[in-house]
Amino acid sequence: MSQRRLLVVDDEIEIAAVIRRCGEAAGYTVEVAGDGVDGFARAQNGSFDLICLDIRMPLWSGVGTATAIKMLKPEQSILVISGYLDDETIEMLEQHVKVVGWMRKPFEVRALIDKLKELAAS
Amino acid sequence: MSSSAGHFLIVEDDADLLMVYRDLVRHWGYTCDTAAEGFDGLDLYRAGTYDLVILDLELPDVKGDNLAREFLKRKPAPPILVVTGHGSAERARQLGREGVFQFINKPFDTVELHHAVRSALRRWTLIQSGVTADELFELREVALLMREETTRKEVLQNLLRSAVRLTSASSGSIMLWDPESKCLRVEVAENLPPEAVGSCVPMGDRISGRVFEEGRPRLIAGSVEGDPHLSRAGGRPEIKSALCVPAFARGVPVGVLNLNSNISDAFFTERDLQVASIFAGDAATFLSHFDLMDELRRKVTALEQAQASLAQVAERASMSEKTASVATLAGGIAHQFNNLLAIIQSNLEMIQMKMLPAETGVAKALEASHRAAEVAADMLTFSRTMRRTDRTLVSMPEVIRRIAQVTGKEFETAHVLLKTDLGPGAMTVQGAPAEIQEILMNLVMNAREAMEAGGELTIGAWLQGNQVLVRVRDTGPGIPAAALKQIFDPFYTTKAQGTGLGLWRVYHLARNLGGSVEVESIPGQGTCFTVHLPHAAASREGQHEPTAPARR
Repeated sequence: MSQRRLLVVDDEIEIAAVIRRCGEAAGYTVEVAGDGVDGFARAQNGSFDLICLDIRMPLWSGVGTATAIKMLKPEQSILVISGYLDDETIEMLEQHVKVVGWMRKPFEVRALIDKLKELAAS
Repeated sequence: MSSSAGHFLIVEDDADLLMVYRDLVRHWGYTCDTAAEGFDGLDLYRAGTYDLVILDLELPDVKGDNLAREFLKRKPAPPILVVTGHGSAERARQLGREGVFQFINKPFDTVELHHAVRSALRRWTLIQSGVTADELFELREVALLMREETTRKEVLQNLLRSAVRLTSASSGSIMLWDPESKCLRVEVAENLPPEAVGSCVPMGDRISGRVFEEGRPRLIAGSVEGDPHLSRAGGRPEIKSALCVPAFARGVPVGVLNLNSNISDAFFTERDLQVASIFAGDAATFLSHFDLMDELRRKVTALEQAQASLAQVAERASMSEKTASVATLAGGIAHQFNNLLAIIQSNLEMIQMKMLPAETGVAKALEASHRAAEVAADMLTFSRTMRRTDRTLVSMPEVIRRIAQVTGKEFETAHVLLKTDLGPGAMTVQGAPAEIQEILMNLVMNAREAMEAGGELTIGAWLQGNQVLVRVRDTGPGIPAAALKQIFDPFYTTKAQGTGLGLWRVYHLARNLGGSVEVESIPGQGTCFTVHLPHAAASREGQHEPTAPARR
């Protein structure tokens, strides 16, 4: 079985590093993008099984980036990981952008790895 | 001296206005004597015979009120028109009770004055033709009633009742033109079946419709059976004679007054027609005044309410402006803390799970906790400064750097790039740190909100002569020239949630510090606010306070 591919989009490099390690622990090969524009470009060119996406970022916001990616690839799985999720944003992400899930920062490493494994199996 | 049309006495101390009256009166075909002082006016009045007096209440030598009372001692006295810019309601009501015919407020329009003159002359003719004391009393009662506060329907009903009594009519009604249904509608009726009120007559139909259309009164007496109009009125055989008079308000027909007589040997006369005309005129004048008064009353009530709520809003608004900025900042701070906590927590967890060498993970966690401490320190200084209202020396670059630190991260997520451009020198300003920070903060938050789609926000500061200039520039949509004029006005806002006090506060705080603020904007390119404040270094000696953070 070929290795699953994960794209991490987060402007905070230390957080991107943590998610990368979790992704690797869950059996993914991982690429990192530092902002929404870069994330969208990579999502467009490469084929990823999953994208982990931050919401509050400079240039493009996470919601904007997710919407753009979904327009291009409606089947793309996106997991949102953010420290700033209010009910309105969550509803929008679930109902309109149709992400596969969301997690709040700070998160438990164990829980993230389990979530990434679960998504890899589906 | 008296001409057949009318001879007037005009008492007015303003020479220009006196000439206006004289020219108008001559233009309308009357003659007049004029007096610039009260006693001259009284001499003329006693020596001559006048059909109308036009009187100013504010005269240099004698109170117009007293002069009017002197004039009214003659029985019968000609009608007096008081033209005044000072006529208080109570004064007017009192003089009205004593017999002054009408009040005209300055500035008046000539059409209004002409109507008042004609209406006064009609009544004067009637009085001279031998109207009884009772009738006069009734007329005055009606005039009085119109000045008191009462409902529109009551006044019309009373006017109609008096007209019916004075003309010995059997019944009557007042019909008003309803522009919506395009018909004359019976507003009030006297001695008619109750269902008559509210019934309609189209323009040109029956007597009332024709009178309204033609604008001329009609007197129908005798041979009623043969009159085509009366037979069309529904063939009411009990009506032996009828009067129908149009009512004009400022030259526009507003309705008709109908009077009917059921007694076969008491037909209406020309005198009755004159009485009816006066009542129709009164009704119309009242209606136009009533509508105006009603509108005024509504406006006054609305204004009073607005004023009361404004006072409350003003009290809370400048506070809520601050709360709004703090709320925006708090969101940004929460985001920063969550990120730093995530770094600390997940690195520690990874050490625990043996995913990471302890040394690497601890170093990363420590670094993140240092960053968190810095964010907290910035916020603390910022919030402490918000409460520092003592006058001291404040370093402008210090204030700008702190605002940039506190807002920068939050602005970044709103796609607003914050830059600072600080010139050389200490750039100290004397004032309360809280107020100087508020000036900057309000301008910065304003600029950020102007750039909904993101952009560049530059805070610059430099010395120019003995002034410190602080400039906040955005690359937003700009402000139209018309709005720029109002931008510092209190409560002026273009934001849905704005209080309109942010920029007003900036303006006042800058003025209190001995400075000023100006704004330039190019629609489509951006807006630039420049605050000029006195440079404290120029007058530092003797004013330097020991607590001043001059070297921070």
